[in-house]
Amino acid sequence: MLFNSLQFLVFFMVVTLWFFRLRTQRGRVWLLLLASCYFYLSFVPIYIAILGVTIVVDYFAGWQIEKSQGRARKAWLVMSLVFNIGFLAFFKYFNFFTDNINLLLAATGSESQLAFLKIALPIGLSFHTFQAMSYTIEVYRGRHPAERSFPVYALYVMFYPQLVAGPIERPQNVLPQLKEYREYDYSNVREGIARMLWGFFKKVVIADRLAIGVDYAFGHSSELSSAALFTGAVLYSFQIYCDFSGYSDIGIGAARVMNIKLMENFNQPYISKSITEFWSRWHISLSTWFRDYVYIPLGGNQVGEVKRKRNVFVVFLLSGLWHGANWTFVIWGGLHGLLTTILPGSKSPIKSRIKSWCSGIALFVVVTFFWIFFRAENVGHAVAYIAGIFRFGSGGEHIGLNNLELGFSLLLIAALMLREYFYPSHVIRRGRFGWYVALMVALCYWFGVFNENQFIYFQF
Amino acid sequence: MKKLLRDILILAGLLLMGISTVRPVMGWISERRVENDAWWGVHKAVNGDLVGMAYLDKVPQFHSARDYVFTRHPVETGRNDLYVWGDSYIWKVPDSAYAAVRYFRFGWRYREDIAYRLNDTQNNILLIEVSERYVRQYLAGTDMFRHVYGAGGDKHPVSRDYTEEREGINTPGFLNKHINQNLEFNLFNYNFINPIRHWKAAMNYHMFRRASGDVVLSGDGRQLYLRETVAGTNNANSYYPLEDGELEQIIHTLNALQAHYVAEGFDEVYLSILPNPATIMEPEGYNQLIPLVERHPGLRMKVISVYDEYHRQTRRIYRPGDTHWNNEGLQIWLRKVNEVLLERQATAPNRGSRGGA
Repeated sequence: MLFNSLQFLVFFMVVTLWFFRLRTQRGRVWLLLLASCYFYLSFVPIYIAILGVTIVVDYFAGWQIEKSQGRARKAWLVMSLVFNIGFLAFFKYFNFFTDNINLLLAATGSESQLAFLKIALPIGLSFHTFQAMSYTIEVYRGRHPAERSFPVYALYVMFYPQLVAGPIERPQNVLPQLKEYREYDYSNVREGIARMLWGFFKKVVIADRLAIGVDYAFGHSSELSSAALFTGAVLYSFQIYCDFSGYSDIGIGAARVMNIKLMENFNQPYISKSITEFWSRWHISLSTWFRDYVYIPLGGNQVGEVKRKRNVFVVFLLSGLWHGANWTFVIWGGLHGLLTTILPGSKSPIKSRIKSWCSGIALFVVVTFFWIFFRAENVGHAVAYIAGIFRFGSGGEHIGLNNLELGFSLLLIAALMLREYFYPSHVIRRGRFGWYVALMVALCYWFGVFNENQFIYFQF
Repeated sequence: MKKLLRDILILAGLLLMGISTVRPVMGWISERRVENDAWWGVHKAVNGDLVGMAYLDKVPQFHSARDYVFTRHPVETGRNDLYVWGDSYIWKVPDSAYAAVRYFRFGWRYREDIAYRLNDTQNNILLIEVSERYVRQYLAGTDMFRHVYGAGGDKHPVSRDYTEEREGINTPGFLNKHINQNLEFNLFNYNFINPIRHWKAAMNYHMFRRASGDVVLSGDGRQLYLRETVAGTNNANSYYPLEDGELEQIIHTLNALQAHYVAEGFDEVYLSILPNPATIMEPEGYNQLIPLVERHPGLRMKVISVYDEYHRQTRRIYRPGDTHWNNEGLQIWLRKVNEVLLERQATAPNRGSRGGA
């Protein structure tokens, strides 16, 4: 069930109204759990079995970790991690590794080839696996008690607003909220719905419009001029931002309506002045996950400079691989890792406003070039696309959007940046709320591009 | 009052979801609403099916009426019994439009079998007509092959619903993937609301030169195409490359079908692939599916081809706002089919002594 579908709108209305009809938290937990099951079943029904197994295993692992001491405690954690990572590796990376082994075998002259598995990646597997792992790790570290209630724990993993594309939550934030009964709060409803509408706007008005140009540019990269290819890449930078942050806005807003506050996932990443700042503003829940559970255990800032940079690089490589089983994602992560380790960090702040603007623009251009690897079908396609940008000469200028729509898209991007910079909050005053809803619904309808496009991050 | 309203909305939402997922109920509603002039009805394809899909009813250049003209052929003298597996291109072609045919049966190629009882005194001809966009979807798979051979020895061998098999409509109703289309139909697709959608579609067309949803404009802006036939990595796309293995599977399936139906008693089985509009109108980059299938040296099924003749035409073959042909395109196809039928009539042996089934 896509957030930008009528099915979701009706589903959300029914579940939310029913949620506030119930007078006990126990009833609400069961309602949300059943609703989340339906939400997940509506993608590919069979994959709920995988989700169910991981929930059961991690629930009991959490208990055992809490009860045990010393080696046994560690053993339960390792078991849980191996199980989660094993599932992820099997479903997401098995064919990737098989493909590469086959290439190696072929290169060495061997005729034998490994067979591929005919499996599809369960929706949102990377997200809920990471969320489940954060639970067992936090219990192991003693920062959060093991959850006694199975439905509450299951809901922690399955809570539909963040089930398939995050934010990747921590138990400390979500579990207490799932257990506490809270009365209907109109200010939360207003804020939540306003945020959802902003998310819808980013998705259907901006991201899906830009997608027309991006798909064309990447689909016809060999025929287009340098300027057209660069424009396509820039549009993709904003498409992926609006698509993913739009999803996060809808998810965070939907939870907010039910008085549940999820963590922030984006904070205007394209106004960053440095790559480190960019990563503190982009996909925050994933960045902090890697920081807390990979970077710090590797030594964090407490090791020598060379080791620290190596660790940073490893984290970015893993982050790239997390996104997808393709060398394009690994290269994308590696490039970010390289840039982060090469460029000076926050110790050399840029004070001049002009310098600050210039570095911000330069960073955006570099990040845009990196996104080409993220969007391309394979490494060859990405390299050819980038080569095309530097191949000045003849080529088509049209990228699937006429000049008026291209101008309109740029106007929308400007409006997006200004709105999020000057008015990042989604608090709407009581008297203006109705007008705001009417305006946003009208804008979404009138300027929305309704092609039933999936959210980009669903594939991860 | 607020609580009552809340409960009403919950019930209405559940009811709506329920109605939109139960196929018989949706079928019942559709029967009453589609092509109905009342405020609660919906006109879907008055000006062309793609015009309807894209709500381009306020853009007259894509409008076209169904202008089909059919010549009547006498039925009594025909010595051919014609069975047609076809689709929306030809399902409204009357039996009298086919020459030298005494008995005629039409079956929706993907939705229902043709119950046939062959008459041994006649030429029993099976014509498999398939739109290009469905060729790879249905003939490159092995499902059809399995169903053909999974049948018993009676004269009603193929009864599986291929659409259901392929699209997974057999999954429980509440997970029906068509629920969004049904919800849209039930919530927003009414004659009294549709003018707003027509204005929006007209604005998109006039300002941004594009259609919406599953419909795209041709390069010269004069024709509408179904998006899946010109874009994306799907096998309906005229430009999506065809692998050798896939081509061989199509030929294998067609040969299996031919062998099966000849063994069942048909005298001849013909294949006729109708090109996607984009295949003819924008041939650059075409994946050559039709010529590769029709001219494949291993193909044993006989072919009634319009591909080359369509290419030679200087006049329009397809309706501008529709996935289907215009009268010109239809007449070319009918002429080709009738030439074959008349030839069969002329060369048919006298089988009167064999007795009828």
